Amino acid sequence: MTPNKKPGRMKEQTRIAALENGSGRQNSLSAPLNSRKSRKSAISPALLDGLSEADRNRLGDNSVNVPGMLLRRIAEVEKENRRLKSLLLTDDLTGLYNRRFFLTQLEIEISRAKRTGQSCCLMMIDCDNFKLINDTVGHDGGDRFLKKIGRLIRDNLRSTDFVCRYGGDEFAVIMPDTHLPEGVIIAERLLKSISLVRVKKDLRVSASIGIAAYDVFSEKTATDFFKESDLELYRAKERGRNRISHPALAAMARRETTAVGPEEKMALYRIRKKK
Amino acid sequence: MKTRDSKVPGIVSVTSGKGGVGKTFITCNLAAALVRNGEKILVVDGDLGLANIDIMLGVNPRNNLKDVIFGKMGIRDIIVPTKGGFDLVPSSSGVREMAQLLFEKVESVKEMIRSLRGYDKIILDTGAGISEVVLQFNLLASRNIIVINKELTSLTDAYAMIKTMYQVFGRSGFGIIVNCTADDREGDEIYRHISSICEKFLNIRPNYLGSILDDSSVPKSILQQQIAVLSAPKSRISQNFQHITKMISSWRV
Repeated sequence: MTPNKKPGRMKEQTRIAALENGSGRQNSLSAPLNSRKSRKSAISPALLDGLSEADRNRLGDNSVNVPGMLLRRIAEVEKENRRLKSLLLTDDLTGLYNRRFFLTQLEIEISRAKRTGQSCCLMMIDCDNFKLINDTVGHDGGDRFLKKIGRLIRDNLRSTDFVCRYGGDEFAVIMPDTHLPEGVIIAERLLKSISLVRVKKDLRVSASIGIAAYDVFSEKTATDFFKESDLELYRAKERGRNRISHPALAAMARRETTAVGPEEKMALYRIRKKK
Repeated sequence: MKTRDSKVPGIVSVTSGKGGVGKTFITCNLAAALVRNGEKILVVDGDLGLANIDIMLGVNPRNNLKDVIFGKMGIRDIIVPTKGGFDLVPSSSGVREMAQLLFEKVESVKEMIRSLRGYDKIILDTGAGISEVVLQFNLLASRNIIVINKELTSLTDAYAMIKTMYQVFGRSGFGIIVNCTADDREGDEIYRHISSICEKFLNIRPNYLGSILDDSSVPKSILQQQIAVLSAPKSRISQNFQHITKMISSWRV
């Protein structure tokens, strides 16, 4: 590094150099810049940080459009900002949305469901034997497994769904504009995909899923709705794991066409006859 | 704060499955009652084949939805004011092409209704049956008010409507009004019947909005083309409508 004559400047450049060394890059701000002090001094050192060597060399060239480079640099800073923001909303390991995002989005989707009258579903997914997997393949292997499951969940859901890692081996999916029968079909598909995963030979994987739909007439809060879905997850575990639980298990056992069936007609008539 | 002119109105439909249970009567009175509560209301006559809200209100509009769908008029051009204090989009009666609208035409009508501004609520009065037009109008609304009475056929048809809307379109925002009841208790009972069946077979619970008393003055007021809640504001059925209005206003549509 060539020493700079202005003390203030030197301080800045040392800082930049330190940053650069820290990030392992080999760039230097030295010769080409110092040869054209007037132009260089118009550019904030902070903006110079991160420019490629070729760009810095071009700074010494009169034909280069400096504002254009600055614009590009600003775009880069913006991009970095976005990345930092996304870190706030996503989970490091899986790249899925994190719990913080989940809680905010759930509130939004509930208001939307109330306004549009179109219910949304909330699905809670928990791996059945994560502890065993961790014990067998170690923590790194466990992490790889969680990544894989996260990807699997995202691949099985639709682009409009919000897949979040709620914590540990528990995932939460918000499914806007989805009613329970639709949500259950997707949950069934997902359960099947998860059952095909092998961590190691003979180490099978399964998950339990709890799912509930938001009742647009209810005054349920996001917390209530979450608890409802979580309770269903608990029930799925209780009933022996590797299954789905939802509030309409009994009603959906009779999945059929929209035609009003004899059973329903009987019910409609019987009740009225009692009068 | 949004001004009223730019406000996106909540859309509610009144439907029944079976005909003759009082959809149009309830639509008009509900709209008038909501207007009395200070809301700005637009009623759309969604019975495209056999429209009759205009008759009920004694208006004789020059143009209707037919001129919008098959002519060159915009939906705003055909809106007429009514004595109920609400605006009306009238429809046509006896026009065969209107009764069997093609899907794209239905979609374009839906889009036009959706684009309307300046109202607190839009009430869609659908025709009877579960034809595609009826289902599409119900789908356009964020809440569906199902009108039933004590007849078994009305109950079955209403249930069929709820089941179709739920299983085909995933709708679950239903409100129930029981028309022509002997007293409040009968209304409650009929609601509980249909609600328990919805819960048992579909696992959804419709919202109970209230009942309308069977009042001998109603046929007369209809004959005189009057709106009961305005011509007899102190009557029991006006109170019934006030109660239902309150329930509907609590919906955040």
